Amino acid sequence: MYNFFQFVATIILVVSTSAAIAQHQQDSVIKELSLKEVQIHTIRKSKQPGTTFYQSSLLASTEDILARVEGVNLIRRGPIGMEPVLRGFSAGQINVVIDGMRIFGACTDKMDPATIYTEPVNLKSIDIKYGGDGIGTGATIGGTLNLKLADALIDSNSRFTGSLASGYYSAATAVQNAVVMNYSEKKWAIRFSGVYRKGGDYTDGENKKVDFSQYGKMNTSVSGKYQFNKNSTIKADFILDDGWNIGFPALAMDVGYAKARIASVTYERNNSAQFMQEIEAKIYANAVRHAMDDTKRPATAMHMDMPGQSHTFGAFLQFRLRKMGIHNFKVKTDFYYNSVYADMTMYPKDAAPMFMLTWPKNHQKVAGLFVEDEMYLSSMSRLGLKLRIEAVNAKVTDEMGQDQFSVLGYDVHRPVKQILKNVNISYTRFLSSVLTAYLSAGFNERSPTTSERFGFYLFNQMDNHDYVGNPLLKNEQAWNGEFNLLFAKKDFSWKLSAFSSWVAHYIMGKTQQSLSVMTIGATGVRSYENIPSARLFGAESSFSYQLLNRHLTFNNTWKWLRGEDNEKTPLPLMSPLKIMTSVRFQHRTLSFQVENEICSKQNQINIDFGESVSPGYTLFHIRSGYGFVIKKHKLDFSAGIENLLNKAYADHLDWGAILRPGRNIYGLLTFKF
Amino acid sequence: MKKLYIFFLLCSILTACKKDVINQTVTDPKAGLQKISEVYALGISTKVELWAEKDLTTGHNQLFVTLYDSVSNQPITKALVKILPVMDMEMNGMYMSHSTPCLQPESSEVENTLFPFAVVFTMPGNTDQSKWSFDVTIKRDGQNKIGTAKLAVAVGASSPERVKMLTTTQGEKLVVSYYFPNPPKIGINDLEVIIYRQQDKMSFLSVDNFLLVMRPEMPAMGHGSPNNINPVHTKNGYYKGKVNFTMTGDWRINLDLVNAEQKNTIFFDLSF
Repeated sequence: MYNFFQFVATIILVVSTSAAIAQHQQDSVIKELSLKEVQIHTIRKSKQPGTTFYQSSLLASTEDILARVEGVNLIRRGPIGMEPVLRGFSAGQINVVIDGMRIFGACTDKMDPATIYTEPVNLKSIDIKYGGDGIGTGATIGGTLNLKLADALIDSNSRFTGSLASGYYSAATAVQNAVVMNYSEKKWAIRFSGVYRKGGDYTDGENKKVDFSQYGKMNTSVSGKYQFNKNSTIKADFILDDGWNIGFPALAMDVGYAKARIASVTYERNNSAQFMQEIEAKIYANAVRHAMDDTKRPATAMHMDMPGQSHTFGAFLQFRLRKMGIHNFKVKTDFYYNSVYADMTMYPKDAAPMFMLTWPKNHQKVAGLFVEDEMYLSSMSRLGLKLRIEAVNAKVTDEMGQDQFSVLGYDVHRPVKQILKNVNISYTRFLSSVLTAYLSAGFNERSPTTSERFGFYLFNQMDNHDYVGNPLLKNEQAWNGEFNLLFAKKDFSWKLSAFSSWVAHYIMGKTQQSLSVMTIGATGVRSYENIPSARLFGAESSFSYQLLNRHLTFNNTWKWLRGEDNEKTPLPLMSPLKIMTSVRFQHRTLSFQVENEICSKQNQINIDFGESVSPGYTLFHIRSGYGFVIKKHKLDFSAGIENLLNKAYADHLDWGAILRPGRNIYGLLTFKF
Repeated sequence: MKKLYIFFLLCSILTACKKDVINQTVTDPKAGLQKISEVYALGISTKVELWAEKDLTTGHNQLFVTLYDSVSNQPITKALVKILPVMDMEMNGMYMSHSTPCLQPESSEVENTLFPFAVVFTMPGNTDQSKWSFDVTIKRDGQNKIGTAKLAVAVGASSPERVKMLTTTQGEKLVVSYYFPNPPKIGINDLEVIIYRQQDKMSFLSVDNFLLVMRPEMPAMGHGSPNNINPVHTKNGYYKGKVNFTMTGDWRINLDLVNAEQKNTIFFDLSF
């Protein structure tokens, strides 16, 4: 047990560089942490079962990793650009942040969730907090997914280190190459990483090529760090992510380009002797440009240009206060400004081009204050309190957008101002040396997204409807509850979670008979409305067992989820039961792993949203790896077969039930120096 | 130092003067208008000027008459002004004339130095075979004499056509036109529809008894727009409504003209 937590402890120490936590309390704190959230360490290769389980191979994408996390599902419209879902909550219901930075996609059709703008090689960890536990980075009802960026490593003993990796995937005849380099002087260090991925149309389980499933992507990141003294550092990060010709077989168009530029400067100071500890101050800015492309599709009724852009800048300051009695306060203040804009030009035959704003230029200014108190009630129990108050100001800023909305009968000249209140209380009880219980409850709010408020005739392929925004939407308000049990011994851990959310003013698209469709062939027009309520609940299990002197690791996760509206109609895009099992054999540098993925049939469907019953499926994967040491360098070889039996399958969250890749043989070589 | 004082003094004077100039400036009532033609009215020593917002084309045109005393060159502010548009045509040696709907100046007093009126041209006229002119009759305030003037005007064809003519089942000949008081844009647009009935070749009467049903449409996509307000009659054959455009491009405004006896459907195309 202690060893298991030591792994998590290293993460915490790296993540928060925390020395403030008293040593004797560490074990229980870590226990508490692992009960609440999921942290996946992506760069430092760990011998712990969790990492190897989540990160199936070293070249796995952020999306591949997320798909394996209990509590996370992905809405898939194409081979990349999948939208993360946390326990049934997605899009504006969750926060997807990069190292605490807010970033918003520039695509009106959700083709570019923030997760595609990072790669595991430039991440230190992926940190997931569900429900109200995730309010530290922003008001949310569904949780927070934080993609933490890797730092440059200051280590004068190893001046120049790095790794090169190259892989091939047969199903999409895809190549992936990655490079990581770290250069360190005594006081400063610089880290560079680059990833290039390119895939053709993949072959599905019926041995057919899936048209428009190609992609190309390049990610470059540079991170520099300077150490003023033992306690304080300043670092600067810059990420350049370029995607091009990304196919979306489930949609009527692909992505021409998706470009993100992400920059930040962070100052960190940690002196346990001072009143304010673990100070972190960050300023950041990011820009996303995105354009859809229908020119390669054979049967387009009319060519359309649909570019979009998103600009965000912000800053935050967070610190911990020196322990006062039983209280451990953490405070964070943050601010961000986000402006998005998307338009559409249609080119009919023999007529003038038609131009409209799909997202009229609008901005959101958000300022928040977050206070957390960890109360050490006794050696056996902890009480946690999280509070967040957020002021939101959203406004349509261009005149054409305002005029356009007046057509729908809305006056959007004035800004929408809201105060969001978020509270979360948690209680942890160490029932015995091996059993810990965690209980959490909270009230959370989130404001509507740009599409929900100001979207203008955005076509949804899934239900074949045009969607218009509703500037009068109320905030979604959720009452969240969660109960977790952790049973942990040496080499053995089992975590069980049950959770439930009751969401008032749940936002859904409702058909508007009075509006006529704009998209040729669409069935109708829907506008976003607050339905009285919705309920989401589910359970997860995560089991890990190491035996035979840790030669053999057994991992098993279950995730199950249900969602229904106030009339007991199932909510759309709810994943059925999924069970994932892996058995891994490891001897020195040789490893061999067999995985099994079972997904049950989903008949809890929302027909109105265009869903149909999805059949279940069972998949098998095998993976292997071997490492050599040549002088001081290391060469790792790994290979595997995914979807071993070449099963033709699609997941319930795959739009258009487009079949996923069939048998995929991959091999990759990693050279570390 | 002295120079500096003088400099500041001059500066203050100059800026003061500038301010006065700004305060005294009144916007020119003819700003944004162009002069179409001018002529002297016989017998009453008056110069007649014709102004318009843009070149005249078929359909509705907003026009203005300004009058000046030809002796003193002072603008005339009170007069009874009547306009008769006349089309003179020559076809195979045959000559014929007809008029077109015209909204006369409402008042005998100038409105911002202008006598506004409007004409709906039913056909272009700018050749020797077909030409438009205005017969203007003027009775200046305090004078008994009535003067006349003839102003030739060139009228081009509007594209897309802004005027439609139709014959109802009762045999009535209707002239329907429309215009936007402000240039059309994405959003809500004021729209005016003008309906006149031909009584005889030289006279047209306003029609006020139609119920209009308006359906904007994008022919390239087949969709319309929501929340339009059907034009309703205000006065003199003018119907006011609101038309909504959700995007730029080619639009078609379908209009049902409904009254107790009949329903006629016409449309206007426009592009912006």
